[in-house]
Amino acid sequence: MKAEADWGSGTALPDIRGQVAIAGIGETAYSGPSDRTSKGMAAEAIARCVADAGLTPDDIDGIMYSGALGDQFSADDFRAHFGTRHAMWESGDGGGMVWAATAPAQAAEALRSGKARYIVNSFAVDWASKRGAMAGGPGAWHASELIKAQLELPFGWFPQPLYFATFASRHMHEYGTTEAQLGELVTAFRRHANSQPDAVMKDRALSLEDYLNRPHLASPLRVEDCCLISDGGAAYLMTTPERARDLPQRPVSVEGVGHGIIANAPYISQQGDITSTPQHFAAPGAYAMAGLGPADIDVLGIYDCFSITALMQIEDMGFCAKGEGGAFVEGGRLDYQRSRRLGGLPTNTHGGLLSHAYVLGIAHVVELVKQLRGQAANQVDSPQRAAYAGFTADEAGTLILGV
Amino acid sequence: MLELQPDLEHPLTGPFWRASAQQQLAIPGCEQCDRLVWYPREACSHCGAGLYWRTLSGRGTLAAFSVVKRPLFPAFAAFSPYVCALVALEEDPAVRLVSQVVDCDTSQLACDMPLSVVFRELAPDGCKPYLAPLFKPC
Repeated sequence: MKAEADWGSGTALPDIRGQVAIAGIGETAYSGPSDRTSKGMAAEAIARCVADAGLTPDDIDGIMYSGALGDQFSADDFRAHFGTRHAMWESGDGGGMVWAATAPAQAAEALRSGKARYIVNSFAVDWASKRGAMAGGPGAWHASELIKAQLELPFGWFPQPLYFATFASRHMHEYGTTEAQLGELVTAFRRHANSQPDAVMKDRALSLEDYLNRPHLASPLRVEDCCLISDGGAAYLMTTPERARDLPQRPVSVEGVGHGIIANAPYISQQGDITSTPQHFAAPGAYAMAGLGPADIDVLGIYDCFSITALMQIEDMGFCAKGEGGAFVEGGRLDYQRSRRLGGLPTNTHGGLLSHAYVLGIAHVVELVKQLRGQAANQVDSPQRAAYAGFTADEAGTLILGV
Repeated sequence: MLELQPDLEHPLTGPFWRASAQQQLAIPGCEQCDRLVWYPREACSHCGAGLYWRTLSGRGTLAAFSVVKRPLFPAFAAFSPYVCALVALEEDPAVRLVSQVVDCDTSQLACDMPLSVVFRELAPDGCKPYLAPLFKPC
């Protein structure tokens, strides 16, 4: 067992339990190449989100997005698109991935201090449309980073499927995890997509036998173990619980937020334990803030950029012991019909990044809000608590929601 | 366009590739505490002292690997199929070199198997050939 200080740490976050409510959600259609732009899709998702909350664009005085990506929807974009003139609080520390989990921590401060009353966090990508041009996309940052460009790319360790194919080989070596077990996870998410109206893979059935008959992309991973590349966007609206009570939707409360990072960030090749993820450091903080543990989570949204990263995070969040994730996901345990009471752990009930759409986790949070409202296509039986695990290789975020 | 060409003159990473061109595996070590420091940086991550490029034995073990039959990037077609690997170095197994395993039966590969360095020329599309420290079973 490696000492925690050896390879990562949790980030101390202010206790915001019960201070933020999610009162609106909005999404675009999800697709492959579509010729839609990121900003255009963000605008569409935000418009639906604001309407879902029973508000108008004039009410929105806070906006969060991923400042690290150049094409996200800022306050200037909001004013230009919606024709509003008022000042807005804005933050580039929102968006998808880890930040779809941690955005409420920063939003809480803005709500508390009166800088904003209604804050929208959005994320949208047009990477399916841009794929042909090889512009941007998930590999772009990794290829531009000096050390990776000089000491990883010249050996062919790129892009991300190779990172996690190698990690998967280690997980299999240390714990006996099998390809069939990865397939159990992949096909569970696919079944969810098959009954999720807006999932990109809705009409593409995939049995475990089909999965095992597919060739390796990069052993031990197949194409089916890797996320889609999609066009799409989504948004959620945050306000205080008091204001949320006056809005039409059942408020969903932010109960806990956590963040973790590896010691050698951003270089995961040097991560101390490559059979784990920084979710190991993020989840404990969220549980502590919420006063809950893994047994209290009724429905899970997990960042499944690869099957193995989802499996490792299930372990790292304490749903089973480290190394037991493979056996844990067998037998349909992640299916939405298998509630915790029935011994299951409904996970990625919309199909996830693997089978719903690759919009980097923002749709996971939207799906969990739907689950807690009772509005999901694959509705879990009366969930009270939901958790989202966000991930970006060297960092992880955890968001616990409740009703 | 993916930039893959190792820069032998880069102050931080050039010494790695210059050593490799001389068929030596070298990575930074601390002048004070003698520990290896990877990736290269300005000063020792453990004690803050200066670093020097230390020539290593070239022995290690296979920490993790993937057999790549078709390249995920067109530029890698020049050396595909290939076995991408993280190699734990003998001098400090916590240090992992991103590399490749060559001269092997891929069905016999297993994590923790011993490896030794072998220098091979790589030339991804669009690159001038460069001598790279790869590994073979030993």
